[in-house]
Amino acid sequence: MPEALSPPSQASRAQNPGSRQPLIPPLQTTSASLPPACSADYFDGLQAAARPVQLTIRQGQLHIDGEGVSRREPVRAVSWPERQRHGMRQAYLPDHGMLSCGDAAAWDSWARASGLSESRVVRAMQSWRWALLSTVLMIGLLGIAYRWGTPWVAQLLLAVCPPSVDEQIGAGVMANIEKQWLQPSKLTADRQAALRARFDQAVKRSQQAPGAEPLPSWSLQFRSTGDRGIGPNAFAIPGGQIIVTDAMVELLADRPDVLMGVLGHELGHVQQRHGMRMVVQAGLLAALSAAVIGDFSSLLTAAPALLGQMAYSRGFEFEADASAARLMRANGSDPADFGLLFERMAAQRSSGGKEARPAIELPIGLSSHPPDAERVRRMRESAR
Amino acid sequence: MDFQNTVPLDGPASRPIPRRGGATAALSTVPTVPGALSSDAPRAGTSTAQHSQAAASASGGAMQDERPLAIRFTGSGSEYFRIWIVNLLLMLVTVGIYYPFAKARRLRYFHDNTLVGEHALGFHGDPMKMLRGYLLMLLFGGCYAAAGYFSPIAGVVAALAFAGLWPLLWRTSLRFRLANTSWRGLRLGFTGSTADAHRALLPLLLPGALFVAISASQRGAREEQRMSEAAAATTGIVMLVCMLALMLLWPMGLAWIKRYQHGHYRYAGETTTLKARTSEFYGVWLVTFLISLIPAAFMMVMLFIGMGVGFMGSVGGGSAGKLWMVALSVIGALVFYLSLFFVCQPYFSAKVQNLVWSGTRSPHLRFESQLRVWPLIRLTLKNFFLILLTLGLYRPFAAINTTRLRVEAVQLHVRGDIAQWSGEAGRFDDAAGDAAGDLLGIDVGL
Repeated sequence: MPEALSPPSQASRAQNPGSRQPLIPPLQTTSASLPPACSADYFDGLQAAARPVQLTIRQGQLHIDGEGVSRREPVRAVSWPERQRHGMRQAYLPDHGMLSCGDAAAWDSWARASGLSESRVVRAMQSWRWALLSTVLMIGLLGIAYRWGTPWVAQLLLAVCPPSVDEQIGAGVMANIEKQWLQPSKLTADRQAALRARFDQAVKRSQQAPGAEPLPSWSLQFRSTGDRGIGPNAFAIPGGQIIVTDAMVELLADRPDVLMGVLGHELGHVQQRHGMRMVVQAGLLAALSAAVIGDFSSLLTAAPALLGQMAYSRGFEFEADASAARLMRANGSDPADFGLLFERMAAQRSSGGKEARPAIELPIGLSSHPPDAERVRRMRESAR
Repeated sequence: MDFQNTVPLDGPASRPIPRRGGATAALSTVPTVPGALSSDAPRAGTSTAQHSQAAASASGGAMQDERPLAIRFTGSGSEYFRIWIVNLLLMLVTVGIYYPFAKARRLRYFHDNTLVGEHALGFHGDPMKMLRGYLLMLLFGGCYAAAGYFSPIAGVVAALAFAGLWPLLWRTSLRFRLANTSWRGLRLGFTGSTADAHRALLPLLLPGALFVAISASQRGAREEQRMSEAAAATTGIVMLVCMLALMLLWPMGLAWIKRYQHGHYRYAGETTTLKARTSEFYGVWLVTFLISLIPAAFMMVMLFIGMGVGFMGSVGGGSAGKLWMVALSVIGALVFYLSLFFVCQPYFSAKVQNLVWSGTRSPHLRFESQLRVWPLIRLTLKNFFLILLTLGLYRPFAAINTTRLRVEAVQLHVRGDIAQWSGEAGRFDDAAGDAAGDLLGIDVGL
């Protein structure tokens, strides 16, 4: 019979190590009791033949003895298998050659009796208690990473990331949306200049307020969105460009104070580098999701990353709203009036206005933005 | 064959290899076919001697001495769950540095539990070396990602350099994985050359690289000034042709890739070849494509209904119509994605596995794969929903049961007595190999 059809060796049969003791040369073991032995298959790494051998460990040396085999290796040089319930035990010898044992239980008890140490990791992996603890720890850790970890890393990275990187990324984004969505503004130069002056003034006043954070460089741009339009809108781009559409200016033509709030909201995004933070945080979240869920399904991997990203986005909107409220207060306006924007936009939407929107920071969105009512409530509370 | 990098193990030739005719005879009572690897024949232990003997017996040997070796997978989902969760925790705590160690442990678990005949596969990868390769690849990937930020031209150059390096990395990862896999103490090997790797990837890499280069240069032109309508139309057509070529060439590309992979596996002095015609790959692809037309048609119908409802709704005024339009198209797209995932993908991968593994053979070894489509679809469904329900915790169970289904569908047929075979001294420990495979998302199957 070919060798492989029969059991691989006596490894599984020879349960009684005592009967094989004569194979082991009696060295210095005369006074002490005989060291525990284990039957295994030895492969020399050059031939496919399995040779039945006896394994013993004496004074830090692994002794491999069998018919025509007598090998000694330092225990530390051997790549030992980790204890598991399933699978064969395979130990790799230095340079070449390996040991294989189908009787896992015999191997494990031999390893224990021979004083082979086991790493804490292996012990944890064989215990349900540790596995459950790890699960709980991991869920906790993922929660911490989501809530504090990614914002912290983003802050750390952005602290060393020069503003020129923001500008470069922003230029790319701007070129893209300029081509797809935007046209030159149809507002008169006078009107643009007047709005700019008013906003400059408002920002200056807001920055004089106690506790104001320093502002990076920013610029205000007016653009029309033409027929394909994204309607009344405003958005901030990494690098400090704030774009406001003509439709937004017209929507709030009679309420420049609210328009200043809208611009203040976008300036808040610029000030806190929300665009860049989103890139970092969303990237980290995607990496975490990939680590846990892996490559089984792109949909399953993308879903938690996307949901988390939306939640971050809503958080950023609240932060930007707080900036808007600060600016409005510093200029003697009531932040609660910001709600007027939502009312007017809702009115325009229900009257069949254009709804297409680009996927960047917008004052209002489906789920990247918090519900209008909640935003108004917070703005109102900030007024007090 | 490319064995320049082969470092002979120190002194295998000088060390006396004990002859063990007696031990083998005791185990295998039936004598082997005359002429086939007689145990008395002088054996140099080198690949050439072994190979010529193998070839001789392949031509002269009878078919009846071929016998099947079942491949069994003994891994357990619950045990792998514990391994996975502890690994994952350690990875999170160490911010990813533990990854190579976790990966080596995972591979070793899967190898220890893959029994070909009576002997398990071995995985010999050294996690420390894998870590070094990892950091190297991280640096490389970082440079590649950063290049795009500096200028579009740098991005194009990086993309082209990446395309040129890809085959090299691919070959490196194959060599690493095979060289660190053993069966019955003999290391496997991969003998494909870099030039062949380039050739194998050409059908996909060429249109792909062209597409990337054109789209990048077009973006650059758009940023600087508006390109003329005619030029824009031409590049648009060229890009469309590239896309179409990519789609049509895909089965051919897959056939070339598989032929390169499965045509260069080496074990005990034997090199495999892949006997599968390119037309067979096209056949599988065509059937998959035809199946995918059903959900695609469904999606289109949903889209049209949605547009109709949306139009009617907007005539009446109000946003309900638009909501319907969005809802219907989302449902259509979701059904399309899910049927691709649950039906087309399992069908294609099962058929390709059977095609590829059943065609893989060497003079004394022959594989046979009989993976059925329906069980794979059922398993994919089960795994998807259980992963969804457990928020990812079922993933290790899914990994185990998928591997079991796929691996146990394969059988190895061996001619002659394997116990008599000998391997070649050699070692290919490319430090970056494993990491390169991960970077490219290559999974060396089985």
